[in-house]
Amino acid sequence: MRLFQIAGAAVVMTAASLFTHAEEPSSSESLRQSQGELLLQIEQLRQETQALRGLIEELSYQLSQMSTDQKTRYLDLDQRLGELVRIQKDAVAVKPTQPNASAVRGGFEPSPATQVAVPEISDQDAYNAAFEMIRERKFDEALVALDSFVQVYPDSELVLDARFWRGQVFDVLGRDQEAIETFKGLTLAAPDYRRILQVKVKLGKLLIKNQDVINGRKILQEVITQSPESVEAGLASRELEKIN
Amino acid sequence: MSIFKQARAVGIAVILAVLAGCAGQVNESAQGPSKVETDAERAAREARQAEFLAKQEAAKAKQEAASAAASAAAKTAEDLRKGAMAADTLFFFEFDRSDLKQDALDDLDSHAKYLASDRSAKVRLEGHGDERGTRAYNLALGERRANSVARYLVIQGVNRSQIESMSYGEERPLSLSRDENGWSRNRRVELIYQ
Amino acid sequence: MRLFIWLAMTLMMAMPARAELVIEITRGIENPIKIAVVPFRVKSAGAFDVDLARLIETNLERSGQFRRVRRDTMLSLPGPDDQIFYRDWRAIDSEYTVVGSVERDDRGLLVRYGLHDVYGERLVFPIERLSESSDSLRDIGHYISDRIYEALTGVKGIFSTRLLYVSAERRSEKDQTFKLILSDADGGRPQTIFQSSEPILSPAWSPDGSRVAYMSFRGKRAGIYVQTLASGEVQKVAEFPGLNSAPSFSPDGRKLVMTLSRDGNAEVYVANLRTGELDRMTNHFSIDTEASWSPDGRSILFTSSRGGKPQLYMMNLADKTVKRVTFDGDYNSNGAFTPDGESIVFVHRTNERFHIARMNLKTREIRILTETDLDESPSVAPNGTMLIYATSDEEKGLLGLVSMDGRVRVRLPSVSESVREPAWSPFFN
Repeated sequence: MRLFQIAGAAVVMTAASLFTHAEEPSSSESLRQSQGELLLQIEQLRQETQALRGLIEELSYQLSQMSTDQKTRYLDLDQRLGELVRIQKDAVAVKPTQPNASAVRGGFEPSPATQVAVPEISDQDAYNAAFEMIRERKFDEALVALDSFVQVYPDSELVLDARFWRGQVFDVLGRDQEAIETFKGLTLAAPDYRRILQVKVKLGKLLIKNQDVINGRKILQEVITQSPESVEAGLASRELEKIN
Repeated sequence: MSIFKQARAVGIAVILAVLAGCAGQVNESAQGPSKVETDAERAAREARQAEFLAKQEAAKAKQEAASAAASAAAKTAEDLRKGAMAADTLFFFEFDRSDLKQDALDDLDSHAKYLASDRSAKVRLEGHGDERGTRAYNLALGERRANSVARYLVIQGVNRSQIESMSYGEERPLSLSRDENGWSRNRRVELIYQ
Repeated sequence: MRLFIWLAMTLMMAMPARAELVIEITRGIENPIKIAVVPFRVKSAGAFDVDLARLIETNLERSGQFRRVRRDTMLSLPGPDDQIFYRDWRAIDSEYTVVGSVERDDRGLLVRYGLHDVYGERLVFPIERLSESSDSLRDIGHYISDRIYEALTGVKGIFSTRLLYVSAERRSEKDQTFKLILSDADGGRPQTIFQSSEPILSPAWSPDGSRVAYMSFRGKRAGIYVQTLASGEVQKVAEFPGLNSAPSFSPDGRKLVMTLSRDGNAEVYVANLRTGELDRMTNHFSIDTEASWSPDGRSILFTSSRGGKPQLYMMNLADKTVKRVTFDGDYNSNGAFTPDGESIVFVHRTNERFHIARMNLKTREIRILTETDLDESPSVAPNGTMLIYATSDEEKGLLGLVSMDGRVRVRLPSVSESVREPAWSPFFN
């Protein structure tokens, strides 16, 4: 009975809506119009979504590229700093009577140029002071200090290390050509230097980066043949893989 | 709303008919014993006659109105068809896009109105692209363009079954000139009445 | 005798007209191997309609790795059994010299040939003989070319492979003839295997080279068909409402990946050719199309506009996860893997121009291989040294070859019709 009523009501309503259509075309017209507008809006929204998706895809790709780059850079820096700390410790162990570093820095920092003329500071101290600057990321000052060191203590056994760090600082500063020159000089002057493999890997990388793929490849290859089991050989072959 | 009015009218008519029936019977039986019509009786008869005449008049007027409406409707159907035939059947798109341009809508509305008014009418939508980009991709793009038009028509009241859509991709260019002039003519949907 | 010469001449002249494509090298490598192919000595009566030496030297030159030594500079024309004076060949700057003979008897053809290393003063391999019952000198010529190419470069030759492409003749917008053509790798022996007044698209080879898939229309309905080359038998694989396009065989030849819009929008599906079962791979309201398989069969590369512009995406078939592959340029589409699976080739738009590019999947380095505009449909040769692609001049579509390092470019201008959609066959042996 109830169902019947509902059905009846439905019939009446359907009929009513039919008549509404017949009698009031303007309202169905406006309905269609708004539907049409909705359609266009949905289409616009879709395009917007697609564009956003594209942007997100690109950004997340760039982000992952950047974080990979950053990680490599961080590991590189970390390795260098670790080495620096170790060397300093060694230095302290070897020369326990050295004046404390801050005093040296005090005299050194304000006017590095004058430092050239003050040879009474030991080579180890001058070297340590230069290091300290690298550690504090005062790269420009470190460069001046390292330059002075090489001039003032040409016979120091630390001179090769100073040249090595000079090259590293150039590299950090993005002064590739100077870094290349420095490292190249080292390979020619001191083929037996204890860090020669590191120097060569760095040089190879820089050469390749600066479009001299042939020489870069050659030098990386040298590292591998010279000391195939070394960490540096691994690094070199990874670099070579990148360009193949 | 009007159904209720109608229902009410029908109900009244039924009641009147029943009343009339009763009245008739009363009349007949009354004619026998006495042919004298009382004033009251005459007044009632005249009233009934007047009502009848008025009803007849109303019915006639209604019929006339209906036929006038019908002829008017016939006239608009023809107008709609003419409107559709006069409307553009080429709809153009931007490179790598399938959304309708605003200036296509008026013409599409004309087609939609006609197709909605005549369910026997059928159209084919052929989507096309320009030669730039790859062929299979352009085939898909052509279909998207045809679907864009189809969707719009459906929303405007056309039955899906009245529309057939397909894509030729870049295989059937209108223009062979290799510049934006030619390309813009080739990025199109053609609406073809079957 | 005069009649014979005349006949031979007409046959020779008929050759280029019959061949749809003629080779024209636009750029080569700096130090190609110089090779002299001596005209093959004819040891029986009658003429042959194929100049084997010419065919071989043209083949080798088309690879970009060889340069022919011109016939008119040769001081002598030795046969396979004659003594070779190496000094004479050095004098005309030939590094290798090919000699051969051809004869026909009741049983068929007999061809003998040898390859001399001029500076090493020795045969690269002993004189070889080929006998064929049928009249298939072109096959023999391609075989010898492959043999020489492999002996001197260490890479398998592609001269015996074949090409599929589509030609179109347009009289008006609605009046066109489309042909699916099968030819030798040098464009010779073109043969129409399917013809229609409606467009033919996306021809693709089965991995064993026995079947081809393509898209065409029957009436106004698009469909995907697989045609067996030997029998001509055609199987309808898909004819759903809407799109049926871009077929590509799986490496095992059992499945076909394709684009259908049966569910309302262009999506990628995999069809099992034996059971007819369909598996929907993509689901996005944008365009997904142009899928092709990786050589290991584990993933598909496809074009999608889900990011607003067409870009290449790779789907791992095991879990259907999708990764975007291309990030340079605002239009990258129609990708395909190289046979080693390490790189992909695709259509890449830079500065509003469409070129073929190759990308190493590991380093993501992109190299643009072509210089013309509107380049499309790259298809890599089965030895991975070259690819064929479609381009066009002012009037019509042309095919071009380019080596995978972009250093060798060869144009294959068509003689009459507009050609497009090339597909390079796999090895047949």
